[in-house]
Amino acid sequence: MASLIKTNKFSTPGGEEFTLPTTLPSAASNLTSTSGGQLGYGALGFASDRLETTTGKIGRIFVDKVRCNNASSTLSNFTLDCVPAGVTDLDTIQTVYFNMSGICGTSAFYPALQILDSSNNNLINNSNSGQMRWRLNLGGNSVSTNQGDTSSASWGYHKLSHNSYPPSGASATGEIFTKVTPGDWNDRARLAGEVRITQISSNLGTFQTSASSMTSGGRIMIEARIGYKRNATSSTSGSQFISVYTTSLWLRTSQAPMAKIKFYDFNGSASFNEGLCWTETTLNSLKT
Amino acid sequence: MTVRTDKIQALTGSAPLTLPSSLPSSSKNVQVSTSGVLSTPNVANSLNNLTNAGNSGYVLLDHQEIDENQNYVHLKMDGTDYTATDIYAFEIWMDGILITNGGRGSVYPVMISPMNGDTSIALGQSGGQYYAGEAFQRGEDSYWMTGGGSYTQYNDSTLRDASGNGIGYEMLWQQVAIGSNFQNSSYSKSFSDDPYYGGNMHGSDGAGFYGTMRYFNGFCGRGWDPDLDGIYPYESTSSSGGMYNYQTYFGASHTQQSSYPSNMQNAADGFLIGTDSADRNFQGNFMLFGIPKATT
Repeated sequence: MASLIKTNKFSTPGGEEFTLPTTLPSAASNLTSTSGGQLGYGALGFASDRLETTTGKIGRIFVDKVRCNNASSTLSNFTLDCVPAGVTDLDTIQTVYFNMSGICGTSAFYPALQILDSSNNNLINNSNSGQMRWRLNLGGNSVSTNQGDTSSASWGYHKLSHNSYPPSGASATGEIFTKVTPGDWNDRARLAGEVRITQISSNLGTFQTSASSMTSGGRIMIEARIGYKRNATSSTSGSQFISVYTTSLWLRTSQAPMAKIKFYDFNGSASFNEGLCWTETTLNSLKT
Repeated sequence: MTVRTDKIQALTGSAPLTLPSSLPSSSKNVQVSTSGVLSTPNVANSLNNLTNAGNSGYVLLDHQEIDENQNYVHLKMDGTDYTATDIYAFEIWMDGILITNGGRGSVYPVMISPMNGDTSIALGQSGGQYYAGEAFQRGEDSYWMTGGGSYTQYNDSTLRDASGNGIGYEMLWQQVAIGSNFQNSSYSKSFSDDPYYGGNMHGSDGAGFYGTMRYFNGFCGRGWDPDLDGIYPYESTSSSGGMYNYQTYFGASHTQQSSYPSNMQNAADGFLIGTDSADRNFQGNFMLFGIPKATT
């Protein structure tokens, strides 16, 4: 007659011992099993913020994303992290990719970026020597191409457009993204584009003032291409469609590593009622 | 108490259970069957996007490798994880060549329409009443960053859809076509056979197109977003005009009408890249990425 044996341990004739599992893991990914028969799972799961080679070389890392939805609230600025999770040596940050799409303001605004350290100090300020170049291309309403070469560290920011051609803006009700009537889009800036920010030699040597000796000192290089609309389409005229290329180089004796990117209206009067920004970062372990 | 056995059977007479004695080769999606067998079924060893703290970056939505001649390329999400209204912005990667049935070395239009299902939702339809305005930047010899813009672009319907019907579009560039009588029947053949371009076309007289384009997906405010990578079409065989090298676009809608037609009042779930003739085909590699609008 068979008997009921109560046990949670078995061993095979070969001597392997098993403990019967009594619970299921909450995740179905990266499960492991010990020689004792315990099922478990690792911490990785299926999500990752980075692409990596089998030898541990890291590619581009997805870092941060901020959405402004007018149905919830407006934003005075978009400030995004650019330090990947787990990175403690911020000097190893090579290039930050700052991406923008669908950005609309509550009124006309003057788009600019600030590069912030981990304490929210602005890394572009009067301690810098800077150079900025820009090219503006406009379509519609007979506005011509403009180009220029100017900079001032006292601005404290990298301009993304020219003062004479600010993106349009207007207040709104509810989520703008899903609007389907012309009146909801005709006067929106819909600003979009990509910025790449590279910081090198963040704490090196002597401040250099001439081109021939620009071999040391902290520097930030910025390159941006953006587009936006300005001027509302009316019964008598259409909007202007604008593409802008800007690039700048900022030098100083020393500076902390960048940790955040802030997109805002440098004129200070507008807030944002729609838009999505996201950051990606590449690392270089050789940077100091 | 330890019992020495490799099989267990319940008192009710069911089949004996075999205790696992080895681990499956994969450590993902491990399951234990009722007979005690460990397995790792039906989970791909891959990621289709990167995430951080619950926020998602670009998600790979479609990838089409076009080997044999194809009149159009319709990139579209499959709806498994995301639908059209989930995607805030797209990025298209293209690396293709334009094959012609005749007239090699000439330029022909390549056009792109945002799609919802199999329906074009291109702004700029309906006789020019609805505009997809644009401004663009390009590199071309000494004319760096010239390029027109217009607020009455793209009101034609000459892009052929899957049925050969004309639909609206929101992007057009001229592309040098290669081949002759579709003789290069596959992508691999196009790159391995002599003559590569057919007839007397050689080298730089028959380049392809490649690069990236971005797109904001906000219903009737949809349109192209510029980026730093851009696309590289080959618009002419002339030594002075062909090498545009880089183009990127900003586009958006506007209209003097009081409403948009219903077929434009949607978000896109894909893009149709095509031509205006059955005598032009594509070969190459095309990908569609999207960044979800949701944030944590």
